[in-house]
Amino acid sequence: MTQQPHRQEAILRAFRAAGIRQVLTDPVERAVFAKDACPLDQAMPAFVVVAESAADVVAAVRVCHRFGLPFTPRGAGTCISGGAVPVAGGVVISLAKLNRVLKVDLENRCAWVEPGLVNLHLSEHVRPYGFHYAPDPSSYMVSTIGGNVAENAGGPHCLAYGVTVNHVLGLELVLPTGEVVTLGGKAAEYPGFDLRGLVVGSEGTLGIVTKVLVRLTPNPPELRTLLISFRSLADAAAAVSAIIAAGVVPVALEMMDRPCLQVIEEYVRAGYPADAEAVLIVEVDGLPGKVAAEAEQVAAIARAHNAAEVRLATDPEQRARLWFGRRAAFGAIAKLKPNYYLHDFVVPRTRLVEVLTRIRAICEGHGFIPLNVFHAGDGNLHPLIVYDYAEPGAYERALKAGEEITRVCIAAGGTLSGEHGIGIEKRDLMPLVFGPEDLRAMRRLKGAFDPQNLANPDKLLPREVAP
Amino acid sequence: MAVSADLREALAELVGPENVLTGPETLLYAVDGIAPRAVVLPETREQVRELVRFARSRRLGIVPFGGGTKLGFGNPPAAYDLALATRRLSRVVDYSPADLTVVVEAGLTFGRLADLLRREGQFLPLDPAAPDRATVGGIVAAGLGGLRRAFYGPPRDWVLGVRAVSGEGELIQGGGRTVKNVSGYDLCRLFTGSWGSLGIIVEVCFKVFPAPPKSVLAVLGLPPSADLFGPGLQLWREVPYPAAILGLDPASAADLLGAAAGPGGALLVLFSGAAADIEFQLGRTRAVAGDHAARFGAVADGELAGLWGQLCDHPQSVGRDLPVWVRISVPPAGAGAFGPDLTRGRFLADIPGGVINLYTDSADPAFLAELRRRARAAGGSLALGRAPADLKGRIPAWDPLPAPELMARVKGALDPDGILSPGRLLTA
Repeated sequence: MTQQPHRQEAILRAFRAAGIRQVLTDPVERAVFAKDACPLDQAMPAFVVVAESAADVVAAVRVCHRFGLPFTPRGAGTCISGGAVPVAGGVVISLAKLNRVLKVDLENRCAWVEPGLVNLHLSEHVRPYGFHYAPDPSSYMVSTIGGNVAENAGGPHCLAYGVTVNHVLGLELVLPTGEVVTLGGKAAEYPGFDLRGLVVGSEGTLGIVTKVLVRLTPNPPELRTLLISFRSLADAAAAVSAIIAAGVVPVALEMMDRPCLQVIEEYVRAGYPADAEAVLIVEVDGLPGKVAAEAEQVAAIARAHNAAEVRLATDPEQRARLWFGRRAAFGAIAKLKPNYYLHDFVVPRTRLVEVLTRIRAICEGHGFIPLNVFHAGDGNLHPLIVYDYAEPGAYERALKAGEEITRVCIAAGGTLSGEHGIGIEKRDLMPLVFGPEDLRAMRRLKGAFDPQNLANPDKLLPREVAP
Repeated sequence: MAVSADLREALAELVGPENVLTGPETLLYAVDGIAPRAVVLPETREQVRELVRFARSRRLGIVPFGGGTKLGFGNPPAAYDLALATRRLSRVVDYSPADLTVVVEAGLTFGRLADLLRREGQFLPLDPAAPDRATVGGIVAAGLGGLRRAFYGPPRDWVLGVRAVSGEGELIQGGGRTVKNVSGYDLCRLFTGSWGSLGIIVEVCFKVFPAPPKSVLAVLGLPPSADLFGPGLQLWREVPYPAAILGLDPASAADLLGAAAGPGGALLVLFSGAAADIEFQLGRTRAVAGDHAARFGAVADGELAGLWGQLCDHPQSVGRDLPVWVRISVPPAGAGAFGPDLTRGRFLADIPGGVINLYTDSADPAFLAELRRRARAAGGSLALGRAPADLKGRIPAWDPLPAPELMARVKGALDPDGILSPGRLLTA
């Protein structure tokens, strides 16, 4: 007991001696970093290092390595799977102040940026040059590029453009041992394994990314957004499958169901048809000929699937209005009940109707009405259960329903997470999709990067797997 | 080479005597002039596991062998006891056109996969050379981008899942069958481009796409001694959505394009999509070409299919009879600096991809070392795609690896005894 304060002081001194100016030790300040957007868990870190430079990150990791302290990197803390929840008594390394665009290279269509840069700020920065950064998770107004890299974030426009890993060309990584490596770069091919691709989506468990080389995508010359309403969920889901099967790959293909639409209309008045059972937002982009043909094809398929209404946004203002409700969905839902549990699964697109029907039945069996707002084109479901933590048993029922939904999605050939990550939330469910040999390989890879198991431990992999 | 009867018998027990080759046929599987002691042709992934476990117990070096079209890459194997040929693992496991996914075994040739997809109006834009021999396992293991890489992405962007047998004989699954997946470490990216050094790929799930309704290739014949790269980059900036922009040396341009080629070689620009858009794109291309090209033409339909096949097959069509294939990969804006060096041979350049395939008969290691130094200084790399064994002995097939210790630890995590493609990528 007498050694503990002595050790804490020694650690603090080491941080300061390494040149780190901002180390938070005050319990009130640290408490802010105890959780992220995941409702399941929280833990109090002993220290929070607010990095002001990449050198601070390296220094902080080296101190952690020396003292055998677990550390957790943190961007905006919007992770919904618990990826930014620290280990009790460990260290949070905040990257929020590393938020600069370091260098834009338009000739090679890429930019080096810092991990704390907010996703939207990157696109705003390059917009004057006619470019944008394609991955746009729903949290894009607050979430950071570093966090997006850690989770391999997706978003509505990933259907045609791909997820974060398709847009990260290179990165600088501080290994848990304190070594710094650069992986990938502006050229197409480098010798050796694609460790860049392995690090993206590794949830901070392989080290801390201090610089990211992102791909910049030219803005499309033409863009059309359709809002299509249906009187039945089954018709809407069948239309999604038919659009894909017809050979159209829209840039976005989003679905919202009736409970979700009602909430959105009630709270943000996006002008959606609130009496519809389901609404699709479909966006096509490219050259005018392709855009016109695809928009027409989508509308025709929708009508053939009994669409009640097809609205076409023809100018940027209307388009923004159609997206506004979708983007505001989670904020609106928060007004319904104090707590919500947002899920993330991917199923083959052809199984959408069946899986959605079963999700609704499961939720109703537990006394909930699920809200669905999701990336239908990818088969990426986000069933959402709203509940009140103060109501006895509600939280437990929400968890139980979530577990049953998980099993249904896996049984339909789906996977555990499409874009939110495994984190703490789903780590113990990993054996549902991966066998012991797969998990052992993952554990050994973790060991190759992090022999002491300091980088964001107890995330992503189930706890019982032996090294 | 004498093979112990014992080895032959042991292998026959694992895969059946008809699936073991030990005679002169092993010479067909030679890598850098080294023939394996035996060739095994497993028919199931279970047999692949058994073979790897057996090899591990005897410390035998294994090189996985698909169509043998890319084995010119890499350093000579440090140990080459077994060639593990995948061609009898060639089933289509599951094709779901409505989901835009296909699952196939590693030994299926790309040509057969492409035929299957074509019947459903779909495609996979990987553009391998020799598609009738190149296998999906080999394409994924090499991870090399095709000619439409800048527009469609390299193989890694099309691989949704991989099953591979590790150096410990474990069957490992990376990814899955859904288009989005962030469950656990992305092992399929790790296997993609690992050149058989981390596992033997036995099954791949690809994302596929609807085939574009129409494609047209604009051909810009260039005047003598013209620079290809400046105009190529200008086209990339000024014409929306080119599916490929290629540069071809004068001799190859004359061979492949006949009268359409210019004395200074040719720039080729591929457009795919709606007919009205292609008209617009061709118009823009012609406007840009006006400043640079001596001739302007367009190739479409059946003629384009034949020409495109020859272009993809550049190691044979452009590189015919030339023993050295140098693959330079740099940030696209830096590729033009290599223009003057390219007179040393024939070449095909993917301009927005920043990849130059130079074919030469110059076996001068000093020239290659200088090119490599400059490629690295430009932020890129240089690999040998093929070279006589004595040249490979004098210059490494790859640049020094980035983060070599970390790479070695990753290798050790999946192949602790170093039996998979030993010495080909990582030299001990």
